Formats: sequence, C-alpha cells, structure tokens
Amino acid sequence: MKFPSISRQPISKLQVIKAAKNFGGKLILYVLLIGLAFVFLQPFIYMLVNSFKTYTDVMNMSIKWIPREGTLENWKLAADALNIDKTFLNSLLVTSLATLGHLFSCSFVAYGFTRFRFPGRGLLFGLVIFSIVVPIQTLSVPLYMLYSNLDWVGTYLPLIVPTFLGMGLNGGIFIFLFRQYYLSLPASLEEAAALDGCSEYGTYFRIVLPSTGSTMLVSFVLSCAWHWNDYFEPGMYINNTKKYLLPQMLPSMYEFFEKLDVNTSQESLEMALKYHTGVIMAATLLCVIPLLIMFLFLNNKFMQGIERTGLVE
Amino acid sequence: MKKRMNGLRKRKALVGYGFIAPWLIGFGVFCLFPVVYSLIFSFSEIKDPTTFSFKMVGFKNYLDAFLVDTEFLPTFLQSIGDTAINLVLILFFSFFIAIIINRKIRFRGFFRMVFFLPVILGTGFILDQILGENLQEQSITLVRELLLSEDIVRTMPAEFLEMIQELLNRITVVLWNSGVQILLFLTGLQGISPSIYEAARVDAAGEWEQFWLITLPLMAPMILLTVVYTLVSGFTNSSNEVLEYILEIAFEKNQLELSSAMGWVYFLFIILFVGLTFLAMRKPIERASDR
Repeated sequence: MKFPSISRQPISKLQVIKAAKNFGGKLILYVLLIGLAFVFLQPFIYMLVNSFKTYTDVMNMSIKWIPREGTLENWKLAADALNIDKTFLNSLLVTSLATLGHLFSCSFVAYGFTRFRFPGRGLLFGLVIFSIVVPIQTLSVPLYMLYSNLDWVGTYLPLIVPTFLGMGLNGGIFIFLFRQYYLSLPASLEEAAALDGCSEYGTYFRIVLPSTGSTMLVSFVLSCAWHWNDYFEPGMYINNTKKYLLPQMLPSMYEFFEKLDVNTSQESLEMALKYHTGVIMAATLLCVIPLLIMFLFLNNKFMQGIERTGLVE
Repeated sequence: MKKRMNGLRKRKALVGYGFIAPWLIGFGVFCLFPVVYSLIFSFSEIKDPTTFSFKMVGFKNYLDAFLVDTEFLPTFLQSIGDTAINLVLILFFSFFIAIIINRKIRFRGFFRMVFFLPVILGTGFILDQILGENLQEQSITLVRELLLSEDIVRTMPAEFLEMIQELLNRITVVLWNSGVQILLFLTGLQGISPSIYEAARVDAAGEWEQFWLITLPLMAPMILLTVVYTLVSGFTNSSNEVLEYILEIAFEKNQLELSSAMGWVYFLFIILFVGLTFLAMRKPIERASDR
C-alpha cells in the first residue's frame, strides 16, 4: 500500500503499526540527542558544581552533585589567582584587535583571489592552503628569531600584526571561507557598478563588503574563539607577567596545584586546604565564561549565518 | 582591439595583485621566511647558539631523527594511527549529529547550541583539561552507574573494563573534536533543496532510501572537505603528540636542528597523506555526486 487511502475507514492495523514505529523512532532520536548533549554539558556541570564546593565537600566522595556547604570563596580566590582585572582586559584587547585584523584582511585578500585573473593565481592560492597545513609549532624557532630581531618579543605585536596581513592563527581558513562566499555571489552587481565608473576598490568597499554579513559573523565567532583560547603563541612571546593573557594563567595554575599535591610541608598543606579542585574549576570557568556569553548572544544569528555561508556551491 | 583587451587584462591583473598584496607580504614575512630558515636548520649544525652561525651537514639530522632518536618513530606512528581512527569516528558522529539537528525536533535551538559548544571551546588549554582532567574518572563512573551494576562489574575481567573505558574516552575526545565538522555537514545539508526530497517522497522512497540515494551522494563533496579538514586539524592541533615531542626537542633539549628535521619529516608526511587521501577520494566522489 503506497498511498494513504482516501476513504474514511476505521483505523487499520497497518496504521497502528506505523504510528508505533514513528513513536519508537522519535523516542530513540530523543534519547540519543539527550545522551549526546549530556556528553558536551557534563564537563560544565561538573565544573560548576565543584566550583562551589568547600574543601571538605571535595574530599567527601559521597557528595557528587549537590555541595553540602556551598561557598563563593573559590571564585574569589580564582579571580585573584588569575589576576583577572588585568588579564581579562589584555585578552580582550588582543582578541578584538586580532579578530578585526582577520575580518578585514581575509575578506579583502579572498576577493582578489576570486574575482581577478593574474599569473600565478593557482599557485598562490595553493600557498594559502600551505599556510593552513604547516603547523605553527614547527616554525616557532625561526619566528621567535624574527620577532626578537624586530624587537617585538614581549609585546602583543606578534599576535596582532600577522592577522592584518592575512596570516596569524588560521588566517588561511578565513581566506578560504570568504572565497567560498564570493564564488556563490553573482557578479552582476559588481559589473553594474563598474559600468557606472566605480573603481574595483570602490566596488569592493561599497557593494561587496556590506553583503558579507553572514560569512563575517561566522568568521568573527571562530576567530574570537580561536584567539581567546590560544595559549601556545602568547606563551612563546609574552613573558612579562603584567602582559599575560587570561588563558595563559591556567597552565601555570595547574602546575602550581600539582606541586601542592606532591609537597607535604606544613605550609603547602595549608595552601592545599585553601586552593583545592574547586578553585581550579572556578578559574577554568572564569576563562570560558566571556566566550559563552558572546556565543549566547550571537547563537541565533550564527546559526542563520552558517546556513547561508555559501560553503556549498 | 586585441591590444586594448590585453591592456584591460593587464590592469585587472594588477588590481588583483593589489587585493592580495597584504597577504603576499604577510606570507613572505611570517610563513616563507620561517619555512626557509627551518629548512636550512634541518640541514645544518648550529655552531654558536648566540649568533646562530651554522655549517651544513647534509642529511645527518634526518638520519638522527629515525636512527638515533628512539622515541620519534613510535610517537609518529602512534599519531598516524590515532588520527586515522579518530577520522572515521569523527566523520560518523558529526554526520549523524548534523542529520539529527537538521530535522524538525523540539528545542532545536537548545540542542544546536549544545552541539556547537565544541566550536567555541574546541581549542586550547581548557579543552585539554576538560578532556584530560576528569576523563578517566568520568568514564569509569559512567560505565558503573549507567550501564552495569556493581555485581556485574566485579565479575568482569579487568581487560574488558579497560577496553570499555578506552572506548568511552575515545568517543568523548572525538565528540569534543567534531565541532567544526558538524558545522560543515550542517551547511551541506542546508544546501540540499527540499524539492528533491519531495520528489522522492512522491515516488514512494522511504527515509532510508532517501538517505542513501539523495543525502549521501549530494553530500559527497562536503564529506571530502571534512575529511581534509579533520586530517589537517588532527595533525596540527596543539595537543598532537608528535608536535609536543618536536617542541620538547627544540626547547627542553635545545636541539634546534634535530627538531627542524623532525618538523620537516612530519610536515612532508602530512602533505603526502592529505594529498593522497584527497586524490584517492576525489574520483569516486565526483562520480557519486554526478549520479
């Protein structure tokens, strides 16, 4: 029976089976969805819960989810240890400048790669892909030499300047993303602008750039997240504690805690009572929260942007 | 007339170079220069670390990487194996998740947001901690509380428990690493026109047939892109063991030349592996999406 019958008969056996099948399918779907969602949310719930536990609660294995004597002390200690009022602003400054650099340069460069024919275009675009594939770690020594010759070590310049030139953290990926978008954009508007005597640069800034909204947003979110989380490059070039970025503080904090565990002097025992897992959890959350807030605000637009990036030809 | 065309073409080409000029400078200074330098390092021996005076020694560092250093090759092979296994799992899970969050489900906004958490937190130290710190503990409790009762656990062989734990750990790692891939697949799914599915339904194709005959072939190019992305990000992310080892050689053991040579071996391998995968997959995928 391929087509639903038109006559109004009493509900047939087949229909009942079909409905049951449907219901079963839905049930499985939702169980899977919730299970998978749990995998992602569980670390956050775990961290959140532990960040409110006192030392006795942490040590008490029977207390898993609900702290017996909640405390805000961990958050205060974590904020102090992270030096959050300084490091947060530093991170904000570097992330916003570097993201701005990516958005500006990558959209511009990608346009050149998409709309103009010039000798060596294929090869040069291949080199864009090359710059994505080459691991930054293998270049760290020559890069460090370069920056120390330029006298940039200890400043934020190594993190910011390359992004304005289409390089930096995953710069090539953004060039690729913007190129995909331009490929899907019909050239007629640009041709019309050219007929009206608009120069290529004028056309780009007045017509093309304002239309990149959704790709811009996706790139913004990704670039922000990647720069905010990065601790490898800042760790290489920024050695002055005053200039530390927020996520840079975490590795040294974790190290400090590991030492506390090994050391058994009276002093470190007292420290261990004060700085326990709860403080680490609070500190880790403090580092993530700014990103989460940004994402909560942009989530809906981000989704729409994803659906319209034009990644599909 | 022909000459004018050429003139126009030349002007267009110049404008094109104008657009990519920032990248040309950036690439030259921040990529090509260090690449050339590390290539020179890999073939030389540094005489004086303060002035970086060096002499060429040919392939000595490369031979050392394989013959003298006993840890490099095993780490290298381990990393290849891990990346290959993760690739399959990541593709499977991200495709699956993309399909279910593309359906009409309740609380779609909420689920989408949860599944995109890895995009936001998918890099960096925090992720390493989330995955490393409480992973062991988590999966043990998960096994015990959700799947099995205490009595059964006690009677089971330890190897089997370890296997389950290993499996759960890997799935957690894979899920947390598949953020961008879910995103890519979702874009692909959004790009398939609903009218194709409607036509299929008129022809009485079931959901299963629709998946195999429409979704999969049309998603083929996106699958290729995702495979390449997954391989590249798997080989180059900061928690990759080979890269960690290379850094250790460079900064803790101060053997810049050796670490450069290892870096090049590793890099050439990535290019080869990704390139071959791409070429091997391209033909069948083109055929599939033509059908």
